[in-house]
Amino acid sequence: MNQRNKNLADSESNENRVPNRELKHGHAKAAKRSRLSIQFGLMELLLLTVVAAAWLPVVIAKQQIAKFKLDIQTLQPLTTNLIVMDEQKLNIRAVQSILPGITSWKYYGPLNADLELRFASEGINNFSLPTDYKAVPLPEGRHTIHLSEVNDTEGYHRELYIDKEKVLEQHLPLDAFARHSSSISTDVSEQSKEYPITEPLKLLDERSTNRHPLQAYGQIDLPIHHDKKGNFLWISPRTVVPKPAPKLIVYKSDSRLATIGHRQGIRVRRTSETKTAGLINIQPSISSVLGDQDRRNWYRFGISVRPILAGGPNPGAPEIPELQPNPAMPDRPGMPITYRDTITLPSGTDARTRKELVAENTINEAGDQMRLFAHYPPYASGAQPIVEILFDAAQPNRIGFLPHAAPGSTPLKACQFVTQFDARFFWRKIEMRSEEDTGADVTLDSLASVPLSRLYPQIDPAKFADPNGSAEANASDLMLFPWQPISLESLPRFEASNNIAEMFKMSLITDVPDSSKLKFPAGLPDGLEYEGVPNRQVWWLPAVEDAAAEDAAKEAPAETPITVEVRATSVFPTTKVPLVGGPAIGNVRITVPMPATEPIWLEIVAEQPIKL
Amino acid sequence: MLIIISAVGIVCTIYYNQERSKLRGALTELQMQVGVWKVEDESKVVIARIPFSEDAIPPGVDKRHVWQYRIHFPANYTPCHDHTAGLVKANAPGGQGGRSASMSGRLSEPEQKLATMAFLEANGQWKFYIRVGGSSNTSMLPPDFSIESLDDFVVEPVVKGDEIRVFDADEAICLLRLHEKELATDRRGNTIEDLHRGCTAYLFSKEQQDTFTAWAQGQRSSMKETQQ
Repeated sequence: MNQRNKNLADSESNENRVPNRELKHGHAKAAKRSRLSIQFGLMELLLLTVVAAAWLPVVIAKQQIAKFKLDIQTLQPLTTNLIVMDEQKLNIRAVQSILPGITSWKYYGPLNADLELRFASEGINNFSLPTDYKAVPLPEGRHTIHLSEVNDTEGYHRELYIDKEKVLEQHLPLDAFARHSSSISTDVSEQSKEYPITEPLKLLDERSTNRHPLQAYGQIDLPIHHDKKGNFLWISPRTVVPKPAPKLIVYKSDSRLATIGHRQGIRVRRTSETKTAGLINIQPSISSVLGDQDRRNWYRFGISVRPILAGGPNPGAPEIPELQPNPAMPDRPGMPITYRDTITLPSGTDARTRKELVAENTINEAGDQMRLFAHYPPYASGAQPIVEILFDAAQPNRIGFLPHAAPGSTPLKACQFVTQFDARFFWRKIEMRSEEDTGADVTLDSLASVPLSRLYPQIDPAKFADPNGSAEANASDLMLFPWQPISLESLPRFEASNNIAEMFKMSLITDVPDSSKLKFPAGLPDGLEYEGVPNRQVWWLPAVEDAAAEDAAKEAPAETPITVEVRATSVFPTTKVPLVGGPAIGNVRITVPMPATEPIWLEIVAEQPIKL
Repeated sequence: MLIIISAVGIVCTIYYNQERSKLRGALTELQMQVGVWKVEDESKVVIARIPFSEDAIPPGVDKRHVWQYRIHFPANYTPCHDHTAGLVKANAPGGQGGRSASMSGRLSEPEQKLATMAFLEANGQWKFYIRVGGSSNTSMLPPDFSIESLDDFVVEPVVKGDEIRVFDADEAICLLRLHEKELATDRRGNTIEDLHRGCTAYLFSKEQQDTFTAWAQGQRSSMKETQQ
């Protein structure tokens, strides 16, 4: 009630105020009204009519255009006609073919467009158009393209026709693919559409599944970034040369990519897998483990980096990162490491954060070298290593490591690189120079595969071969093989070339010719069964002796050489399940003296070259 | 200012008129090929034959007989296809020999699709090809089944000439039946009752699946052949 009275009072007060204002501005308003009446004169009215007359057809035409477009869209798939809407552009549509195995497109090519029809059956990837292709000029005017695909007992036959004339053909053997088609995509539909003549246009991207060389499963799906085989047909301006796909790849902050490194080779995995905290998690190239099932959150190969202090209460005793408490998850061992693109962390960065910053600037301008940095949190002793991780496009199966000490770190005497999870690969021999060789002319012929048992002469060979069969053996005995040093002098040596330092090469070789035929013991965790191709672990170690000798001559402190050790194990990694076929190499330990200047390189490579 | 707006309007009018005229030309061209239709009752299946464009014949096809239809499907229709290539009945689905069945997704809106049925000879082998929308099927025919002239066969396409046929959504429609005039014979030379060598292609909605299957298995009461 009170509110209503207030409103009434307000309205009265407004009524009272208006006449006062009109009195005040009465003359000005009258003048304005008179001006307005002049502005809407006959001429203006006529002009407004003209405007309406000029725009009304536009409105009507636009409505009709929308309706025509809808009708055309409905009718197009009911015909095989091509509608050419713009003769300056490439007009094209797909056509339903009445013969299975033939895909057809009708097109109109503008005059002097200088277009090519290109076809590739290899090098199909998600990064760029294939660089290895066959091409024919695309005739101007209206024509029909037919791609015929016939698969028979002799192989895969592809024939490309323009109208009735065969312009290209390609024949691939039966072992080119495992399955002909695993995915198909195109940029062209059954609706006629115009496309610019300056851009490539994809008619068909048909990818096949690769054959598995061991025939264990018959076929294998390659990782998403790999080159695939199949049928790739596109129209391109003749002058456009496809850029090669990158050889090295990184993940963006929002990408699901779990690994970084060679596009078609060895990589490091994201560290956001708590199981492997404290380890550099290596994903060998698919060609090195082809057939081994890629298990999410499992690891194939890990490297533990262990700093050795120059002084302190326990000089020379390495620290083991995966046995350090994890501040983020106290019930799990392992120090979280993060990959960054710089050796110095940006100020304010919490080293413990798992949000990794690895950007494209880890790759050099030429796109053939890549480096990133594994940052460790400080150890209890104050040691804080940073490991520079290197990739070289020329060596897709190799990954390099160069240890550094972080600016605030306690001085480091050395850094140890200790491999984990080796035993599942059944590496049981080491390639060494043969004893009778003098060392002057080392050739591959003078190399010998030394069995692992030779490194343990104190153990009875029979017991070594079958420790599980020994009556007095127990689980703790089986796992306690001591480390055995490998002299660098016993390893083959490769002369320096092309800016690569002189290196020793240590190769660990499997004695299992076909791991898909192995019978794994019952109860073995799935991730430890290896059914990939036979492969070897190779370490490329920079030789420093010559430099040391020179330094000695100059009475400078001699450089300590890298040391190499291996250790046998008779059980599958992290289990007490005996290894099939007796002990294998369980770990490799490389001790790199600090400060280090040359990287060490790890290579996991298929025993026989595999062409994917 | 108004003069400028008018001038822009006139320019736009010219542009849009050109665009409209291009589209009208394209639409007319399309309509000439597929025919001008007005579907009176959208709840029915409507079928008309449309001419087959010779330039769509791919290389490798030596001889062919092609039928193309434009089919209007009502909303909520789930197209099912049943094709037989072997021994077929003269007035019902089923028979003996290669039989394939497929089903497309349910149509939420009324839709028109192109259906193509063809007998093709490529590399000396005759094939029966059928495609409705995006779904296609091919059957290989026996080496001694050669369709040089359609006059030697009983050929029953769902529509003949320029007619437009309308079906209820619950009918099974025989899109094409082609068979030899004589009854088939067994290995001993005895004729087989009711069966001819040939092919049939049927179309029905998923709701009629059970009734159709019963009809194909010989229960004449469950469905009957649509009248030609």
